Amino acid sequence: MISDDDLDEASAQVFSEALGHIRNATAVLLGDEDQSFETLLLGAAALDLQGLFGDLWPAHIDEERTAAGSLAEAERILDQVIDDVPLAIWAALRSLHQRVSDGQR
Amino acid sequence: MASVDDLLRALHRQAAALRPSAQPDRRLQAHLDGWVPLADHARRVLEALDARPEDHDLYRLLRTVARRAVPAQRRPDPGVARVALITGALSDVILSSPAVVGAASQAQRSRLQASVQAALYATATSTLDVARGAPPDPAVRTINKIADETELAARIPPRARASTLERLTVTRLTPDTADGAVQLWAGVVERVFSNPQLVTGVALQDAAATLAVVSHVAAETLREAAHRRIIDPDQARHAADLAGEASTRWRAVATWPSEIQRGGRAYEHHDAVRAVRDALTGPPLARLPLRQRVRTLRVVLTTAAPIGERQAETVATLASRGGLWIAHERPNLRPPGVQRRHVKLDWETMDAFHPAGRLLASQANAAQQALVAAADAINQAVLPEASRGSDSRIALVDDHITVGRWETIDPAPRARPTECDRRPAARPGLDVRP
Repeated sequence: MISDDDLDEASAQVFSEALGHIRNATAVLLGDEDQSFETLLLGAAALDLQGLFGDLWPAHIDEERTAAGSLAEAERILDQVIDDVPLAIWAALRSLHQRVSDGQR
Repeated sequence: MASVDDLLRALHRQAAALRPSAQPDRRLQAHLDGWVPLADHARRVLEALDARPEDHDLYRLLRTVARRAVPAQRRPDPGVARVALITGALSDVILSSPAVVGAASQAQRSRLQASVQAALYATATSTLDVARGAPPDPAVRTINKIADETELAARIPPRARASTLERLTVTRLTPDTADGAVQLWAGVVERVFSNPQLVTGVALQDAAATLAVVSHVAAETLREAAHRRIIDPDQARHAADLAGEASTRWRAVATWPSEIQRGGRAYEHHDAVRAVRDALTGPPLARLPLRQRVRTLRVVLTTAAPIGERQAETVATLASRGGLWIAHERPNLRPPGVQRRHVKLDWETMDAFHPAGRLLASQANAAQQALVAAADAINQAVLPEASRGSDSRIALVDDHITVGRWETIDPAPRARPTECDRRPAARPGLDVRP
């Protein structure tokens, strides 16, 4: 878990943007047209991932991407502050990205 | 996991098995000794179900039997002892759920009382059967009166005795069982969702997504149960369809647009929902036989319904009181020529009754109604009802003691025997058949 208090302003902004992309991925997965059980579980896992960001305020990212695209963007952004990213977030994000990419969502 | 229904079935099986045939080696004293704990447990459960327990002859009789001194070296009849043991478990379940029992209507409580009394009646008639030919014993007179007091209840058809309280269960409150995990989640939801400082958007979405998972797993399991005819296929398919609809609706509730949010931390809720999803999609549920899976999911879905209610209430409250946040564009951040998608947005409190908030609330309300309908349907499909025709005599139908209808009673019953020589089988329409 991370807290707003543990980050400087620049890092907090990066985390907020990453969280914004993860929120977009969550909405895509849960709103998936095929309504499969697999995407429901992936959406739930994305909510779990959001929970790891604690009380960090998310940025709203007004972009239309696939879930995999949004998660890739989140990874790319977090890579800028790699030393500040808790391992649990990396592990959960990478795992989710991999599972989503396998299904090409 | 054991439910009141499971315990009642076991109780009726055991009570009916006491008297399928004469067993000369049964001793009256051993029977009467077995009655001491049985009477105590039976009085406890019957009184717990009674709005006015103080003025009932049956309780007085049961107290009299329970006070009987039993020498430590004497061993009670094992059959009666088992009836007592099951009745004790039943009383523990009922007494541990005073809120549920209190909320049940008098009719539902009376029905469960009748089921317990039916077992007492079968046990009493068995003891009276054993007493035939034995030396007179004053305790037999009391057992005889207990048979009189419980006979009417035993004659009520099991279907008419079916009570919603039979759904009460003994759940192991651990996250490594599906029903235990969902019970724990229900407790967490009560704490988190009732506290504005703790409830978050992710928690509300997580709850909705997990309710969608619960409903989906229930729907799939019910379809399998229908296919394999584990329960009535038509009822199972109907319940499966409703659970499927509930899943779809809760999934929609979980899908918050990314421009709406409510921040904060809800770690406890996060852990609780994860345990539920792990249990439903992993070994805790998968390792159970299909019949047990169906019964477990009945409990899970029934427990999930109040969670859905709390989720829907909370969303409606937040939406109507400015408890949600919505993204908006700051006009001064968008210079001419810059595409909208490249402009950072900001958050502002969502107005009460904002259309987006109203939509979230109405979706949650519809999902909750679907969930309640699914829970009712799975209860109807899984809970047994002894509705297979009727016999003219007492029998064990669907593991419930049943007595022939009044119109089929032998028109020429014998005179009532004394407590020492009466033969229960001579009662009109009495013949417990295992």
